[in-house]
Amino acid sequence: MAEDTDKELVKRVQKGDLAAFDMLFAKYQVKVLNLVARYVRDQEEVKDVTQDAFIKAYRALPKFRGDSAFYTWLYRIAINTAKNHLVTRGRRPPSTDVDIDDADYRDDADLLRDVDSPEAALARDQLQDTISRALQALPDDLRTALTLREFDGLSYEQIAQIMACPVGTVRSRIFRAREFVDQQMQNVMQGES
Amino acid sequence: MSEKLRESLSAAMDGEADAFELRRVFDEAKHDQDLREQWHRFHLMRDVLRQDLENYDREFKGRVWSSLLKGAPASEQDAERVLTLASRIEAPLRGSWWPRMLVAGFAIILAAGVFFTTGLLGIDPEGSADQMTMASSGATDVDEVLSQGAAVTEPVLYSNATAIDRQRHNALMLHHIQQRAMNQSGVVSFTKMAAFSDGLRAQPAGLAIDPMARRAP
Repeated sequence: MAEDTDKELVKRVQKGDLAAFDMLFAKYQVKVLNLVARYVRDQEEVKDVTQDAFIKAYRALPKFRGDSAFYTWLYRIAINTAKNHLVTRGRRPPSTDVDIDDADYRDDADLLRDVDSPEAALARDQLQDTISRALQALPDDLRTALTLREFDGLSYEQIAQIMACPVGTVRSRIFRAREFVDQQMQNVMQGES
Repeated sequence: MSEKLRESLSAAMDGEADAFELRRVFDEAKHDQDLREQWHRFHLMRDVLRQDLENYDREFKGRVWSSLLKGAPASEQDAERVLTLASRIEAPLRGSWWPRMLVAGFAIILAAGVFFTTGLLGIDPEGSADQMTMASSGATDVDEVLSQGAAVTEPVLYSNATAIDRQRHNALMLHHIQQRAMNQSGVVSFTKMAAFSDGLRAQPAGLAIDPMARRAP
């Protein structure tokens, strides 16, 4: 039976495992950055607030009892941190919070936000382009499995039904697809650094 | 870093790994920087595919870690160094064998003592009923429970155990099951736990090494 990855990671952080927090951070950093960006416009402020939110979360984790999902808890911390930030800057926070289900959604106003440096934007574009091309270069069965998982968020069981193959095959296909794309990503990232 | 472990990492990311896999992959990730980096890239890949990368910055991770661990340097490489250092600090604790050997030695001596005092060594499978009663101090309890005809939900001696005994037993069994699940040899050798009632006397089945031999004249 599949186990809750976040629960296991949280349990480990509570026992003092720093690497587990690093893995939680990897999982949610972009999500929290995007959530905070719904409240704060300036890119540097977005990073400052997100950083504060993660530090608060890390320090509060020993008290986290797991009554709610980890992301729900982190999401509340991030929103409160963003609102406090606006208040301390003499700005009025929005009267309604971003809904947790809409946290990833961006409206047109977001496009008017202060943009990052051209170098950072270029690096992002290059990474996106690499991943997109790697995805196109994948064999059909691997690409289908990965896109059903990542774009449609289907479970392995659902993907297995659609692709008419065992769950183990789905698992292996998704893994092999990720490894291929990861290889291309590493080439680009090593070239940058 | 084996392919199986990397596949487990991929499944863990999708919430499709089972409990043993999850524990194994995170145990490994604690000390394996390459595995953690792959986890980061897999998630970055996911974020890119879901068009979430608007606010992403590669240097951000280093920034957060340097704030988190005050006084630590600010780059991503340095954050990784801090994590690696943390792993190394924990590693000697995990790797120190002599305290465990000391405890194990003490446990063996204690077990041997119990073994002799309860007279288990003096048992002859063909011996008298008196000897048998002495040998299996818990056998009477076993017999009582079995003779009730009800389903035995837990070992008889287990019900008499203290809370600490139960905790130790559960931890040992869990560890054993985990070892078996990973295709390794378990920590507990296979022993028959049940006992059989044979007329008036109870005899732990574990003592009957070869039932066929007992029937031989």
